[in-house]
Amino acid sequence: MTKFFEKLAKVPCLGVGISGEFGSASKGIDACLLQENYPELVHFFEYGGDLERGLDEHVRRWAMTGLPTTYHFLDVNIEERVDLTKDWLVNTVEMAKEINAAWVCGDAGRWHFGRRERGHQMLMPPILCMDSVLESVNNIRQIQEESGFCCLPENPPAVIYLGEMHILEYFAEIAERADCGLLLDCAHLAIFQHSRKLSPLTGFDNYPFERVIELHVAGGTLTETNGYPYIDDDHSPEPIEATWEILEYVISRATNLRAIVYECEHNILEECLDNFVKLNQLFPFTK
Amino acid sequence: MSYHTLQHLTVRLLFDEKFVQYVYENPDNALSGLDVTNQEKQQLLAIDRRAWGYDPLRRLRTMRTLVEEFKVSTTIVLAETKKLAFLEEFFSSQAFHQSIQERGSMGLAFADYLSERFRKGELKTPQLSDVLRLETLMARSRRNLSQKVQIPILPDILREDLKIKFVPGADVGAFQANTIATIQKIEKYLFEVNLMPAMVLCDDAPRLTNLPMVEAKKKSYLLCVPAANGVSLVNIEKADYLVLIEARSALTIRQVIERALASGVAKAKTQEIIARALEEQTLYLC
Repeated sequence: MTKFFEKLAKVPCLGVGISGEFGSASKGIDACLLQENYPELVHFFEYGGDLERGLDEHVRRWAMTGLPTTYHFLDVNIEERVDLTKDWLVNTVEMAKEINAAWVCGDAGRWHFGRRERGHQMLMPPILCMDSVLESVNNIRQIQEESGFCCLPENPPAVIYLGEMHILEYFAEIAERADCGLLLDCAHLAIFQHSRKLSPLTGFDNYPFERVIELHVAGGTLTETNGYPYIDDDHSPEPIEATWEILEYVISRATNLRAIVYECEHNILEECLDNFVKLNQLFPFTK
Repeated sequence: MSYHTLQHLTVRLLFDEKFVQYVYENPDNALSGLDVTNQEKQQLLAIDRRAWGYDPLRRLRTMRTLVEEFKVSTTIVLAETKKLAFLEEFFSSQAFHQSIQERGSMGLAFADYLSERFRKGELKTPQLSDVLRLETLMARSRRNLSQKVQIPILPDILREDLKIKFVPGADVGAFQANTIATIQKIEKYLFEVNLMPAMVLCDDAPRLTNLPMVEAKKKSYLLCVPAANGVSLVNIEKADYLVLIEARSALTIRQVIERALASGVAKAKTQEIIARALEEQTLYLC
């Protein structure tokens, strides 16, 4: 049994949660109000943070209730060794601890090009090759060892993916080699499959379902620019059909699943309630 | 490793349609000298070329952050050229591509791009040169703020063999005397048009005219210092400038005194300036 599976017993089950970022409550859904009004639908809050903006009053307010949180980083390039600085790690861990996060997670690719600087922000997927896997593994190991947190890498969204591997194979390799859990974003996977003209469930052979700790669900829109069709990860209320198909397929196999996040914070609450109900039916929360 | 090169290439392709055309039409030339394998080259070319332009607002969004940092310079450029395309050409410039490929700063590359176009005579507004130098000084200082240094407690006596240097974020510059007046005039103009941005469409909207004359013979000396939200500027005397500019790299107090003396600043004055700057933590003992 690896360290990850030994630690698993202490990793809490969080149920269904909502995401948020700095200032998101003022423009969209306030997680605290949502939880107060629908305690049976929302059980935890995933805060997307970066060092530049830090924690906002929304997540601090949530943390004060004592309800669970997770910390989703928005500012480190997991596949780039030079980007994981001591400073980033120390300050990020401090923020995650301040909100009593159950674990840290985030898209494992690149959040910025070049140095961490204004104007350099652009979420990009990793190059899907073994060299990139190995560099990501070193970073995830370091984060886990130095922070004490489980670090769950997430498959990022993109219109263009480069590299010879399937994205599920890429993350399976990372999980086994870094001995970490996984955050599978079902909407991002649907985007990947569409970009490679694959069916939604392609690539799950040999996928370590037992390492999937968290799932993400979000709305997307099939759109096009200059005649080029792609799925825009716009976090609109309604997930596309392929996202639901992936979600249901994975839930039934992910025996160690602890959390599902519905990334819908920019929308009107009423447009999202039915999906919260559906997610709770698919993944009933028991304390 | 070559996949890092591939990532940098991806960024360049996402920003620059001309580069996309070059890579697809002449990949061997476009990618020569780059650490990419044949397999990676094939993967790149297998992407539907329309995909690179899927986000038509990418340049404008990024330009907005550059314009925020070089607000006054870019206003002068737009007032002169009347073309947004002039700024957007940055994304096809060597300065841009080099900064991405070498993991540099895009903001500083943008400053280099404007500066080069001015040097080549493609921009002629005389006020631009020093305004751009000042905005670049501040941009560079902002980026240096993230450097961490240990600032030791000052000894009772400052021995001349002690080394001094600017704290991260501090720097000095000398500019033509009307640089600040030019900045103030442009900021006032931007404030007015920001009240109702659509007014720029009107014939009777405020126009940016009559910038203060360039006073090349007179200089103003400015000290850039770390502030609560970045950096701020302080007016200083010429003697302060001549002394402090020596502290861009670590030198002993003795060396600074000697150099300042060569520039005409008396030893006692230099000692006083150094002591004050150490006290105010513009300089530190390194």
